[in-house]
Amino acid sequence: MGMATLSEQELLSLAARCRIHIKEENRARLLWELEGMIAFSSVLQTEESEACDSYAFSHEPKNYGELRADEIGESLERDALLALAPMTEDCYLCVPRTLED
Amino acid sequence: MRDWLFRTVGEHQAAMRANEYSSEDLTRAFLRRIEEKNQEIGAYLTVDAEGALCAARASDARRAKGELLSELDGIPYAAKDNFSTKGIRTTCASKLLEHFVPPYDATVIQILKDAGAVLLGKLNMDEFAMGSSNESSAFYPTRNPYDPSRVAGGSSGGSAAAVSAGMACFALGSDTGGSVRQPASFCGVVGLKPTYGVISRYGLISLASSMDAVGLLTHTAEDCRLLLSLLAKRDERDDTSISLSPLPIPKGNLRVGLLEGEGLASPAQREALERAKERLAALGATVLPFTLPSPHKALAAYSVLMSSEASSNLARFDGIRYGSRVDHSDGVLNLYTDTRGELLGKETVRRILFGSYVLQAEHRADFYERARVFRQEIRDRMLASFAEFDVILSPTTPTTAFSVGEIRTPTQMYHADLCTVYANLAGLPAISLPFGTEEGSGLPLSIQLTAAPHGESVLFSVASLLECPQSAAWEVRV
Repeated sequence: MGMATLSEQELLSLAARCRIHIKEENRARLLWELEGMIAFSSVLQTEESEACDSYAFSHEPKNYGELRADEIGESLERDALLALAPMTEDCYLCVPRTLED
Repeated sequence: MRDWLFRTVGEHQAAMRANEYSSEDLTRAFLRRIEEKNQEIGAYLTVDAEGALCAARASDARRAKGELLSELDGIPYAAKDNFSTKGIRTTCASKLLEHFVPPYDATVIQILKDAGAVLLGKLNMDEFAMGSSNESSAFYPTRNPYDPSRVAGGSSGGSAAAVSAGMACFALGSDTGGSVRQPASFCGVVGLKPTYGVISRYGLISLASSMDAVGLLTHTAEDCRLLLSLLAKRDERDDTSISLSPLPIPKGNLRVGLLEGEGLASPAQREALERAKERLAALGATVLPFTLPSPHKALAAYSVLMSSEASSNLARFDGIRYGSRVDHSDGVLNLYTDTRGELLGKETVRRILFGSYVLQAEHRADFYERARVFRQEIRDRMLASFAEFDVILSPTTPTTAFSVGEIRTPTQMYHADLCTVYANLAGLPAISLPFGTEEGSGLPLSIQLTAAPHGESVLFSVASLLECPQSAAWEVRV
């Protein structure tokens, strides 16, 4: 099986979708490694299969997706939660602007 | 009696009952050992000495009043750094979560706390549990206690090394494709990946949700049995959690399937497998060959599914919803991309990109859908095999621990999981047992046993026939 090919433009488009900035000096190596991973996984395309699909199974399906009781539980501690905020002002949590002009 | 830092849970309890030492004495001894060895081994990322001593003293007070909470009361342990621990930072060995202090405990941490176990600290790992060598930790690699020029394995390398080096009595890890069993094999300890869903994953930071399992690293299979009996319970906070319904121990002659295939094991690991086979046969077991669909295809299917799920699970770490952020970006999009570009490690970035690639509309049918279909094929084949066999005997890893820096490409690294991914793809319980050491290098050899769903008791029963703690050469460890 030949090596899969991925252009630098495709890599950058993929990275943009994943919200990851790739520095220019890392692009060639990353491209080569990703092509290796794609080629490695291309072995899956060697034959057809009739098997049916499975996803996130459990061995006791009756339990799967069971909902919790709709009851008020113990709350997390407010101060511990707020302490995780990267930016605060007085008792407010500051969030960067997520809407652009 | 072995050096006390290498004793089992039962041995510690017996000694504490006999007033040979207290939980505080034991905890102080582990903390001293961590102080002496951690710079060399790199097993711990965070040590909570104060919290550990406080828990140990509380345990000693309960013991004095005859009010012990469980068989784990007063026993010092450590947890991989992807389990949320209230008030103790949980980094996933990533710069992005370097300052994250969870406001709650993972269910397993809470159960152990309620049982009186003493948490020593948090253990090193490959970043976000992606890796097989611990070299992708953003902080420092964990080294193998048998030979520090070698890797400890991964991604639960810190957990395996801590138990192996006498820096904790037992450890928690997570196993998505072999991340408990592979480092257990490299470091000469026991590693259990239970049936999918029997231990709650609430509070475990997700990698690939359809395969992630909480795993246990101990000195003996008996310690694993003891821990599992405490931790295996349905948890309504984990949607995939199930109750363990133990399979009966087989009566009559044990039926063993011996996994065969090209390139699964080095000559030394093959020799360990042969010894295990002979030992079981001498005890009256019937050992017959067993083969599975292409191991390389299984590895590819695992790689596609794991990366796909990881690319989705890790989307939340963007500097806004979770994690640290860079402070030099203009505009929100640059903030996201710069944060993730600068704070995520190379292996994490590769797998997110690859996962996103195989989920794209134009590639999905060729990769993701085929991987799901092949996964079902493997699962069907393995479940059918348990009509014929009670356990499958196989190598845990193709080789013994490799050198730090030896493996240079991602796909070469993935081969370390060649023998372990089956259990995750099929949701089966599997255990890695130390089985002697390699002549010359002195590195640990191992074998793996896999059973049908809920077959943990079968694994422990067969392990007790094979286990020989003296086969691991304690004295050669650093």
